[in-house]
Amino acid sequence: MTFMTVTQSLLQGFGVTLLLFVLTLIFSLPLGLLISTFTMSKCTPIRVFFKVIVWIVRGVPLMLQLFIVYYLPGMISKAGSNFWGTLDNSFYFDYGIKNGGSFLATVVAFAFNYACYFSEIFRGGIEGIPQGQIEAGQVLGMTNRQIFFKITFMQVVKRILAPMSNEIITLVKDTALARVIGVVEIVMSAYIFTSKALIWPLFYSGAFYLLFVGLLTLLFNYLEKKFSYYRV
Amino acid sequence: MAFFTLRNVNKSFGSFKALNDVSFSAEKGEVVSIIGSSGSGKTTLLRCINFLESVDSGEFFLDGETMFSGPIDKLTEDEKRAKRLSIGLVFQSFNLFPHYSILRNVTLAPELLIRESLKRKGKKKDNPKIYDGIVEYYFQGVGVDEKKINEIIQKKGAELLTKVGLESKINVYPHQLSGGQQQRAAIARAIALNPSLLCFDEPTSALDPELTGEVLRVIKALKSKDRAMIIVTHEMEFAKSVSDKVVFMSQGEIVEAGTPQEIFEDPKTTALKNFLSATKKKEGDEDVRREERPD
Repeated sequence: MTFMTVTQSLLQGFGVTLLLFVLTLIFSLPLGLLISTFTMSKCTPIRVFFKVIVWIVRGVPLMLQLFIVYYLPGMISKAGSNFWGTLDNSFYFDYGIKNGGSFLATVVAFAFNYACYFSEIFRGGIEGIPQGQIEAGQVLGMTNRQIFFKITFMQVVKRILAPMSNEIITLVKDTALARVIGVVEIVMSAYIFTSKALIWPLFYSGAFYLLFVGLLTLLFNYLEKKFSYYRV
Repeated sequence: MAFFTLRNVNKSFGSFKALNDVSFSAEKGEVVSIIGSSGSGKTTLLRCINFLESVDSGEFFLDGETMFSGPIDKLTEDEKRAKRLSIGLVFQSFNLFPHYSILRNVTLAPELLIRESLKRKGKKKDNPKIYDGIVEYYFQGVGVDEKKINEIIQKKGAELLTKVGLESKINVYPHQLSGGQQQRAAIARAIALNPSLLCFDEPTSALDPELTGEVLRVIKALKSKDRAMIIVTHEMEFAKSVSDKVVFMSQGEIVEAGTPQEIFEDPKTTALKNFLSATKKKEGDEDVRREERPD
């Protein structure tokens, strides 16, 4: 087994890892913003309901949540027992991704889990904006929408940059959990070689993570610098 | 009816009565100073006038229009906005937007309003009450040209900043300015919508003593026959020199009101007498402290 074949196999797995990472972000960022508005709602039932949801999602291991999402359709009805399996070969997931159904289930679980974490970061950022900023917008005749997007949100972005970079880097590595329901991401791709008595691909896979996290760190440093032109 | 009229305003926070049957009025061009010790309801009164708090009962008229009659909760957002536009407020803590340059701080609200007004013009959601005044103020004599909106608004913004002496600072960010400069920028922002009533909530209380002068001079220069001003202040000398009318509040009530001469030279109530002698003593202390400063 040559270095090249291992590299090729790991690259394929890393592609799945990256896709999982990107899709999770795309869905969880807006969803997190939405959830944060619910956890700040003036309506007590809505607020309490979503706080409980966030508590559950943040309080239960992500791996357990993967299992729950994967097995829930089958627990609800017999017809659902192979719900994710039927999606295995659906639309584009058969392009290089085995077990497309598992992959989709992972995206759902990850997006929801990370949305809850992000919602708490957003909430902290939004609640940290001084009330005077909002009042200044109000007395200038701005609509609530304008106040949110032109004043609050712009400042929230700077405030949450550091905690967000932390969470996003954690997400890169959490994608390795997806293999428990059969997604062949990079660690799984490396693990397959252990059956051929090859251990070093496992260590090799770590290099991919390091490289990617390094790039993300540079990106966040750049963003932080970009936002350093003002102080909040 | 007077240009500005407040009638029987009441406001409680829980069981605490913050405003008790407050009434006063002012004519166009007049400056009214509100004085009184901390917790006497001055700031609450100003916040009610600016729709930041709702009154429990009472009426407020400005320029012949009913601003509110009773609690403001029943007004729609659009109604509240429309009414707010004729009132400007300068905060004690400036509240400039830290992520925008000084010029952008001044131009943001007018630009949003003007763009919104052009978009809504002739449509169902058109609300001429909100927009016509501001469009006229910015485009008087030029005609609205979509392409020149930015240019015209920025020119006006720069003009307003020149008026408060910040022409060399238009592109810097709030944190790069001194407190006095920040407050002057906030004043320029407050007059960018050309309000007919301009309110100041202790505009110099957050400033170092040596910076209050520049802000007070700017406020004085804003006195205009086109608008009324209400100033909540602890600067007695300033209140004396700038005001046409002084209102003394204590425990949520207006205890005395009159010309500066009447209030400062001939106080009738013991509450006002005590307040004035207390502030005189404090100002004396401050003078001593200022002299002791090493710098």
